[in-house]
Amino acid sequence: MEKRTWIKLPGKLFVKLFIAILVIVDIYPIIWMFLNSFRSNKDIYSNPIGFPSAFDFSVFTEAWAKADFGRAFYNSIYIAVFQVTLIVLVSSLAAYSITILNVKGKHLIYTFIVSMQVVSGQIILIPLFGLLKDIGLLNNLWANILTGAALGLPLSTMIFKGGFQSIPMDLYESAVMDGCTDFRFFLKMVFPLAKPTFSSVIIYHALFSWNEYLFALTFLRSAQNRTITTATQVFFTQWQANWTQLFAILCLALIPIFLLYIFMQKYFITGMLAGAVKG
Amino acid sequence: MKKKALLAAGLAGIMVITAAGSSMTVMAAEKPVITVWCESANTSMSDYMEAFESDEFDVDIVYYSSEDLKNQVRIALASGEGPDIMAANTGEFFDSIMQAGQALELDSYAEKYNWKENVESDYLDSMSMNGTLYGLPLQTQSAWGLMFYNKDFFEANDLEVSMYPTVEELTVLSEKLKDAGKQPIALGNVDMWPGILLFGDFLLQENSGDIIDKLNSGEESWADSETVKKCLENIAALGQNGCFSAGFEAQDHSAAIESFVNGTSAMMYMGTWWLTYVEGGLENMDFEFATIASPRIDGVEVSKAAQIWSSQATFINAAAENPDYCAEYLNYMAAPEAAQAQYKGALQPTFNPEYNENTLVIDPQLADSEAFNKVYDLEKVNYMDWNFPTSVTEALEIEIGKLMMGDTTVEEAMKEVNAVAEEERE
Amino acid sequence: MKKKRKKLRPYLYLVPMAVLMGIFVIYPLISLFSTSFTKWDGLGAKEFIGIKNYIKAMDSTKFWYSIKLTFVWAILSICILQPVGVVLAVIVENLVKSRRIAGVMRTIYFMPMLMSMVAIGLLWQLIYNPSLGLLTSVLDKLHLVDIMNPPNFLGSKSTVLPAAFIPTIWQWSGFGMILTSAAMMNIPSELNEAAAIDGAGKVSGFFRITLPLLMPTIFLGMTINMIGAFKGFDMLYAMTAGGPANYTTLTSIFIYKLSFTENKFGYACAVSVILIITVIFFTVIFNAIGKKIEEKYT
Repeated sequence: MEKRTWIKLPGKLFVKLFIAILVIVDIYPIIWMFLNSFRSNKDIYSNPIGFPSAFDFSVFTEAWAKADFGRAFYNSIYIAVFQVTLIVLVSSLAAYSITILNVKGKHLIYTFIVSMQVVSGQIILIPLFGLLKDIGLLNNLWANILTGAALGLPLSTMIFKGGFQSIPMDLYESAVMDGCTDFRFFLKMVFPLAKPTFSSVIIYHALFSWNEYLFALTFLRSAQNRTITTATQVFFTQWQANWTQLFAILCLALIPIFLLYIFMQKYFITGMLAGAVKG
Repeated sequence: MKKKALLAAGLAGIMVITAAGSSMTVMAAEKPVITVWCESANTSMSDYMEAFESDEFDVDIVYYSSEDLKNQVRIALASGEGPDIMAANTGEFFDSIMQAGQALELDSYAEKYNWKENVESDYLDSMSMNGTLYGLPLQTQSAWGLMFYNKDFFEANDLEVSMYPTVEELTVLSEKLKDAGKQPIALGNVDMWPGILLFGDFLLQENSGDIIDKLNSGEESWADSETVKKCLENIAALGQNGCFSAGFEAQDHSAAIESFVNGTSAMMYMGTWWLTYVEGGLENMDFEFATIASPRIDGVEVSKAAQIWSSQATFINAAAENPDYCAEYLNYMAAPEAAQAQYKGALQPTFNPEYNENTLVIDPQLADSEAFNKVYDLEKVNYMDWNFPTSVTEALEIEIGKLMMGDTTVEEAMKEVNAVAEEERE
Repeated sequence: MKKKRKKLRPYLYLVPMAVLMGIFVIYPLISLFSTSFTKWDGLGAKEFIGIKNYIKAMDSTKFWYSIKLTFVWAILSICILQPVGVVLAVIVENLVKSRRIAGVMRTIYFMPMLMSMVAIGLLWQLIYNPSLGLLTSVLDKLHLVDIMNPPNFLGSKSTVLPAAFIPTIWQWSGFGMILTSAAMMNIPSELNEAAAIDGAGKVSGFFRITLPLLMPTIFLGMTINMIGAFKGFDMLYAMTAGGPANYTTLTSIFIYKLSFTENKFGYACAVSVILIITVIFFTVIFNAIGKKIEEKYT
């Protein structure tokens, strides 16, 4: 019995071609984007699928400087780091109480938390704006950190709950009998055991935070506070559809998150899975 | 585990430092800063604006696309927060701002700095309430009511178009253009306001500006009006007869401009402001273009009125902390030098009438056109997408879009818009 | 004393969440709810008008059309996105010999997910542009279309919704694929081997053994897709602005336009509330069905 080949196909070549086509169709828009950073607007419009005549990498440095991307990068990273940290802390602790600590009324609490998923940013945009103004957090990166974390709590809690559920209760009970505090158990046992879950929440939420646009546009006003998304958009409107540089900017925006993904790939999958199997 | 601990400590450290840092900058407040929000300006204009220097205050300028500016100004004012100087379109929007007392009274400053000499007086009414001035019209005076065509291509292919083309003429011409290998009239209607501006251009051919008040008050009904019917019929014909370049429903204005400039479309329906969108400036264009009037109703040549854009009110936030400084900067924005900078980037009539009279030089591709010259002599009406209540505008835009695609009839469209208009009046 | 403390302890861990959500989610929601009973243009004072906004929404064809679109979009998302991912995963896992290539493929398929929604919307608007875009160019080179009469996918009522949905597939297929791949890797191969020994073919082995075990994962993927669909705004707005005319105006776009173009904040809040309620309703049903399926398969 052969393990690898599945369907009887007319030749391995056909299979290879098929796979190649699948890959190309999927990645072509991104490659197109990348190649177009090297072509002028005119070229792009007159022959969209043409190949660049020259590879002038200065377009990236120019676009970077023009869009003040360095600062946008810093802001985006700042927001992402704190937002992710906050959400991981808050939702993991909450999930902990719902699963291992078996808090009373956990079904109700959990259902409530999960139902909050339907709340999206645009729906509560205006009341949120008023609230932030009253607190005095407008035009402060923390506005995005706190609101982004708050909106992401339902999904993260869901994933953590799934991940924690696979931790056997006897482990907890025997630890308690040995005099271990809840908190210590969390740090020493839950955290190491559920590392994949943590990683997947980190990646998922870092992605969300990195690409967030509406709140960045609404709450962060001054030029110093622009994030990658708003800087890209401002760049686009300010320099009036200069696609060459815009494509360059889009490519630049992709890099950090891509690196993060490569780095945490392994855990992302297993983490999401842990949430799936028991969720 | 150790790595994570280190990371956590590092994060905590950053938090503390940044928190301290931001509070320190707050404490060490130097010169007051005036914040200005405006539309993404051409480079020449933004250079000028940022070149401002004063010992007493600094200026921080944020640029937005016009769509974003609208929203952001609204959000900001809704929460009592906002920049010191910003702009809002006159009509419903600015009216509500004036009514809510959120714009600073400008009369004393206007007198001090002699502003009324520097701007077109035609627009001041729409920025005043009860005789008090609240805003200044500082935009370029871009006009619609015009079309542009690729002169070189027309000559090479023995094609002609009249200065005042009718829809019928354009239908025939469009076929010929397609046979010759180019798309006909470039239009970018995805945001839908070009459609309503086209409607406005038709409407003002046989009516003067008061038709708008009549439509708003109900004196002229959207459901019965003969003139509205004619306009919509013409628009439907243009769209359904294939006069617009393929894809017009789904592309925006910059794609339309690009389509014309790179030769895909032989003609274009656009406001005169498109000149700033040409990469590398007008010298960089591959061909010579010429200007004619926008599509005409049968039998009409020169319109009664024209849609000319300068009624965006630049105003000072009533809650501004340093109104005197704001006024000083506003004066800078309204100076003749500003007009000079604006012209350099826009190549069109500026906000300053004196500059326009004495110094302005318009490119012959526009200036040689009879239609272009006549347009600026007509009664000035605000852009059509600002004249009606927003829900009516929305409804009208959608119906026009559908008409151009052939998805509805003129009678249906008129009924729809009328229903919304009547609801508004309640 | 100690017992009471013990009972309260777990609640302590819920406090940060309660605080964060209370301030930044619950409070705005309450504000939203109260504003839905008023007439407000965002600048002046709020005027209490009772349930007039809700009645207006119920009467409005535009509103119901947008709700219909939203549900269609959600159902498309649920029914297409994850299954495509599964198909891709199956292909990669079974047709690709080298582990490394499989890994690379997974990464490539995941890349679109890393782009921001706005960027994707803009990119695909350009791709679809009939006279200037990539798609027309490619089809023209393949001699499938006439360049003078190019296909106008985003410009006509009949094609715009599927055309607008494709970038979503493009973006999310990688996600579904990775999820499924990982789940498949977790399935012990002995199961399939045992089935093979018992005489089951590869294909039926897949459907009878692998697929049922994948159900929870598929369900998770579908849930995430569903949530995303209801929130979906950025990409569609950037790509079509709700058009042409209003043929892709999902309820979220409808709310946005009501608020920021027509300045009918009170009405927009009412529509938002109705949307939230309908979504909760939909989610509950969806979860119930999911549970039933799960029970059936485990």
